Amino acid sequence: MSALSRRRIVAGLIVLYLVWPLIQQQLVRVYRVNPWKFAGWAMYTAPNARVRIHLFGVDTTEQVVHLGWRMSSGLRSAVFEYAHSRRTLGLFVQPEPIANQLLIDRPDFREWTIVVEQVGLTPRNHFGVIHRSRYRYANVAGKLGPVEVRSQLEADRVQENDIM
Amino acid sequence: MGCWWHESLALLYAHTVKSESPDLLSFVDWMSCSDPYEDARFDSLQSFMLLAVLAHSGVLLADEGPLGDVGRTIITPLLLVSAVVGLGWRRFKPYCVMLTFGVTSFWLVQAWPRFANHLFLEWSVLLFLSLCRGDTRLGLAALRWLTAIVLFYSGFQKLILGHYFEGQFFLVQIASSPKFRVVFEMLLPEDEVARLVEWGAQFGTGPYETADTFFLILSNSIWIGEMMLGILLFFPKFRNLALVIAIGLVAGIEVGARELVFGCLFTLLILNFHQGRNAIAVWPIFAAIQLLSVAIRLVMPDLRFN
Repeated sequence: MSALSRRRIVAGLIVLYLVWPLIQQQLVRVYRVNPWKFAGWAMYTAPNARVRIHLFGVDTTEQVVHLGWRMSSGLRSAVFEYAHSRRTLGLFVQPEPIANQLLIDRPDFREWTIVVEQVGLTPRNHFGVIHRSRYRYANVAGKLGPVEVRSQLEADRVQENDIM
Repeated sequence: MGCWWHESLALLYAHTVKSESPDLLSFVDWMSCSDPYEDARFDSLQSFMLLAVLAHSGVLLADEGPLGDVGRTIITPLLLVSAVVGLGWRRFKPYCVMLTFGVTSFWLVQAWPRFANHLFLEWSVLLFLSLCRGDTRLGLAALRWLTAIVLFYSGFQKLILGHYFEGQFFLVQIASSPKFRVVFEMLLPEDEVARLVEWGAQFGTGPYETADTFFLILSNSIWIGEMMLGILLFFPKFRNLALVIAIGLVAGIEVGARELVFGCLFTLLILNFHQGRNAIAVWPIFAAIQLLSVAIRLVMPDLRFN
């Protein structure tokens, strides 16, 4: 490798190292990825990411059912795995495996809603929900329909109600 | 919408990768200095990295997941061979650094997306050491750039994404992390610490705020200090002052964070700005601290230093 080529590569890498943290910062803000990860040098900026997941179904009588923690081991492990990935990758990862497991566990439901809440410090410095995503899957003849997603930032919501 | 992005990227490409004129690449030399011990400094960093990454891989030995299996069977044995050969036979050292770089790349891929920034920093140092083995001045300049970038962005990210203005982040750490509590509880009144510990950073608790002036100054001086030091390192006139403060800052952070893999490596990278021979002589001490900290972690998992 010539001296000039080496210099070009090093210069290019330095520019990349200069620009990347700004891109990572936007990934954190827009896509809710973990600020501690992905080489943005944003360790210790915010408390460790926490995620809460609520599962709902609509039964044949149009009743909304909160599934709570009475779930099969398959569903529990799908929820655990997803929460783990979600804490790191934010909105880049969708809860498809949970929905598939719901389809197996509760095939009688007309639709399922998976609510994913990111817990952190709110603008008023309380620990509460700072971002909420709702993933709605319809049961289309025993198969998962296309997902409908709604995501929003939450301001100072520390109450348990109004999840749906 | 995408136009300005394309133009900016094209401009960057033209000024760096495609540039025929060395002048356009001269910004790399902003971090160069007339260093009589350049080769020895580069060599010491190579030696340190061979041991540092080996020590870091020790954490995989205690990992019970799939990454631990890969660590025990592939990563740690290869890093051990690389360190023994590289430190035992000087002429093989650059090749062993390249091997260590390759193994660390494999480790990053295996750990994706959950690798820590510390691992990425090690990977980056190895990348520049491998790339610049024939041009030590360029390699050291690149590593100084990397150090200043990491330092500056550590502060900048706290400014944009963090919770430091009202001391919130450290208050949460006092509430939830015993290792931080040991350090910061001395700075707050007893009843305030008791309240925070009772909250325990649980859902619905707060507000995590304090009126203690010293605590607020300390909280804000962290991000301001990191940004300022990152910038001051660019100016030869302020380098020695900046590196002394930066080492103090890293030492202060390590008292609470106890992440010696990062602390030792970063201190050595900061010392890279000092042109004296002493900065070269300390690498075995830092390597020994890293090896010891991982050994302690394996023997006493509760006493974590990484």
